[in-house]
Amino acid sequence: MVVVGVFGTLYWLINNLITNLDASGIPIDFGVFDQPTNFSIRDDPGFDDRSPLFPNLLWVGIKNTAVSAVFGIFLAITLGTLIGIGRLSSNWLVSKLSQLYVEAIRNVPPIILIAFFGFAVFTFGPLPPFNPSSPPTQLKFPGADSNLLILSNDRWGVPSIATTGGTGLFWILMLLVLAAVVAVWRWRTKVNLDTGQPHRRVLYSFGTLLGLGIVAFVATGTPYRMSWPAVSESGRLIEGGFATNAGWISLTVALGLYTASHVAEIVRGSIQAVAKGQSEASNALALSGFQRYRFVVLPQALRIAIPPMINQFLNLTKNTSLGVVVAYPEITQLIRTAIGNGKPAVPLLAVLMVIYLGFSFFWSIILNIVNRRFQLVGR
Amino acid sequence: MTDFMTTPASSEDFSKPPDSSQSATQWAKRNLFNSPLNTVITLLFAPIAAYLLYRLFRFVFITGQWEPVARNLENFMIGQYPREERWRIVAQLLILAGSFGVLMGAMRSSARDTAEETGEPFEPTSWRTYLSSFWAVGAFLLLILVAFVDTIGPWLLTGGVFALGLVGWAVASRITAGLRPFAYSLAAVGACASFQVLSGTGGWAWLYTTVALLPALNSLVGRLPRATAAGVAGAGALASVVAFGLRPGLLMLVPVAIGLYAAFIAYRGDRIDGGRAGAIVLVGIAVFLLNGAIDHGGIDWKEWGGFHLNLVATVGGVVLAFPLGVLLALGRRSDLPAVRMLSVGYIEFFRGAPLITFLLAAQFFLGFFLNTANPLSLVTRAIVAVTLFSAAYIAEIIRGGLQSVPSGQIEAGQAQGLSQAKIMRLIVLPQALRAVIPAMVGQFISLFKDTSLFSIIALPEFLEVRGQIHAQAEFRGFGIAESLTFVAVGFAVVAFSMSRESQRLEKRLGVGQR
Repeated sequence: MVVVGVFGTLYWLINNLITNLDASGIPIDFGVFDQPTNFSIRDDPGFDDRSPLFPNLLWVGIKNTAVSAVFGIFLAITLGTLIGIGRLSSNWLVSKLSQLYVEAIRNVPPIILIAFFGFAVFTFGPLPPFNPSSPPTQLKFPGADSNLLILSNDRWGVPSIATTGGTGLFWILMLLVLAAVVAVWRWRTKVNLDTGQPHRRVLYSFGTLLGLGIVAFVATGTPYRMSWPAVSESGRLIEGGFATNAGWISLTVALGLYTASHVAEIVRGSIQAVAKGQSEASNALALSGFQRYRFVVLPQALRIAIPPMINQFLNLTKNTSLGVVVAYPEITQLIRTAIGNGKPAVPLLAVLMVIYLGFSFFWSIILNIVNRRFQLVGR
Repeated sequence: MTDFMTTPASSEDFSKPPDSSQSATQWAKRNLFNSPLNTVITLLFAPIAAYLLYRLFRFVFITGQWEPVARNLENFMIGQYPREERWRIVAQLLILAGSFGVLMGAMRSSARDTAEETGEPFEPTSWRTYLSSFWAVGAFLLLILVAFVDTIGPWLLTGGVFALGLVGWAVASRITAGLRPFAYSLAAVGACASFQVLSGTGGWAWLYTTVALLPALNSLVGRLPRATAAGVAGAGALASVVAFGLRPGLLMLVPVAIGLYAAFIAYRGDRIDGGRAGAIVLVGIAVFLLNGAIDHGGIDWKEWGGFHLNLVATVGGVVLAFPLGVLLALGRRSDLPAVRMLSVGYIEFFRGAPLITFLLAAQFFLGFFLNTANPLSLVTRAIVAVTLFSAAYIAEIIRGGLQSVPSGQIEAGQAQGLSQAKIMRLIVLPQALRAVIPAMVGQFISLFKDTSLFSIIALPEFLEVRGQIHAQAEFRGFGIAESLTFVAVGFAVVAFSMSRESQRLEKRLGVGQR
């Protein structure tokens, strides 16, 4: 009876939707995805107003969402772990500063943090605007010609790596180097097992990688070189290097800082959740402070921390939809712009929700894999 | 170690605990310079912290351009709410404060009586405890009043809110057990009335008010002689039939059903319960008529805005979503695969996509789902979206609470011969809901923060008001960081205080320890 009731209501709602949309002449089918977008994105020359919604708009949006999420997660893990450990420090100053950070940041809605970076730090901030009449700040090495950084309230230029051709041979050689690294790793493991000497696998392998890698790089005629950013002659664009816009920086940094406050709480909570006896036992075994953390506390804390941590990564991925505040062209912003340009909302928003469900699905798969792996290793 | 060995200077010292106070140098030695590494860290971080503190001080007191905030304080609080109707908001705040005070006082007297009955010591929550949770809100309020307000009105309002709350609390915490249901009803009716003052007496207001009166009715009819109770049941049945005759309609069948049910069980011998049902019908009809009689206009929530809108949308989102959340949580544990899959599908769908997508859907096509002649306002649509969204999260919280109830409880209920529904209603749900209170406060906080997303669909909430202010030529391009800081702190103090309170509740309820 419940099921009939629910389906009846759903049918009634959807029937209403179709009838009402028909009556107002708004299309509901997915044919709209073949139409051109009629707008372009400033920093994406490949995407112009003639590109169709499918696949170009979706592809650009998903790519930008993913890029922002990846960098944000990286920032959140790094900063969050440091602050989480800082909260447990015996140093009063460090632990209070960490606590202050967590309490101050996690209680503010992320949208306000993003707006703060977008408006107060960039658009109306202290940096100069980027246009022909006012050149942006250009930071150079002392005595050098090329820019290390180009800073403006609108976009930044950072150095990047550009190819000079002949990369194929280099990567083939790198495969060989990788094989050598694996061989060295196996060899050191074997030495350790046979003779009981310390294996020092990481040291040996990394040395091999670095040494042979440099040889391969030089032997193939340095296939990559640094590319330095420069202001174009028109004074409107950044040439060379990697140009990033204020929206991207605002969104990524704000979300990274916000999620870091949650990550810090997870890190702190999971370290505290490891039974105190474990710590005392390692003291009794005369392990040093570092050894105690590295071999006893952290491996156990990690298992507790990972599920809520992945949940936070999922939250961050969903929060990238707040890029609409600073007009960063991630998927929600693009779909919203398309709707604003007169495209029908129903199919576009349906696809948008499905895309986010896809991101959620991705993270829950990762969570399941990690959980399974840790349980196998653990117990 | 050595503390134990020290000999007290004189014999009187045995009666006192050993002096544990330490001088500032000792403290610094223990907490800042207790190892070489910590010394380095302290020397590194102390200048950084001092510099940040200095910059913050300069920003707040010297360089900050607070004019856009100071001159638009009223806009920040209530948006474009019609200024000549401001008394409604003032009245609402005062009534709400009084009701809240009565509620807290009644709960305190109830806790005191329970402690007396069980013989356990009664440990009242001291004002210090509340201060340790809510100091941030208080400090922020005081700061605004001192720094930005140059009229007496807001001071009086704040003072009145606190005074009424305290009076309500002081009176209600002294009442006896017999009066307590009336205190609960008074608080609930006050909450309903505060919104009726604001938005008028139309719509479903009569229903909420009747529900709010239930504890008082229950207690009142329970004291009547059986014959009088039967009379009440009969009167209820009669009134419901008369009301149906005067205004026939499908919805009016509900009071008729309750009224006839009252007469039926009173006739069968259960006079008191019949009287209760009859009294509900009578009071419901009376409240309905009264609401119609004292129609004083009111401001539809289309015109609400500012911080007020954030609070209303949050409370509305949690309260409206709660029943749906309970149903979904029960559905997820149902034995019927179809019900279970529908619940899981709903929960995963709404948890999988961000709130913005649902708000955009609310903005662009939620209205098309309903076949109404007069379309829903944008605020209503946004609150519908928030309700559907938070129901999924509340369902997951309640599911956690249900799982925390040991299965022995259910088995004990079965051993008593209770039905499945009664086990759920009388045994499982009360324990589960008690266990989820802290998590529900957490959901409340996150929903409160999420109401800032209303700015994306151009609803005039707290953050959006800020944008509107800077869109005026007068305030264009300056004080940006200041107004954003103000909005951020406004959200943060409420969220911070609520989270402190939820941590306190968690400890007090002993969640995870039983």
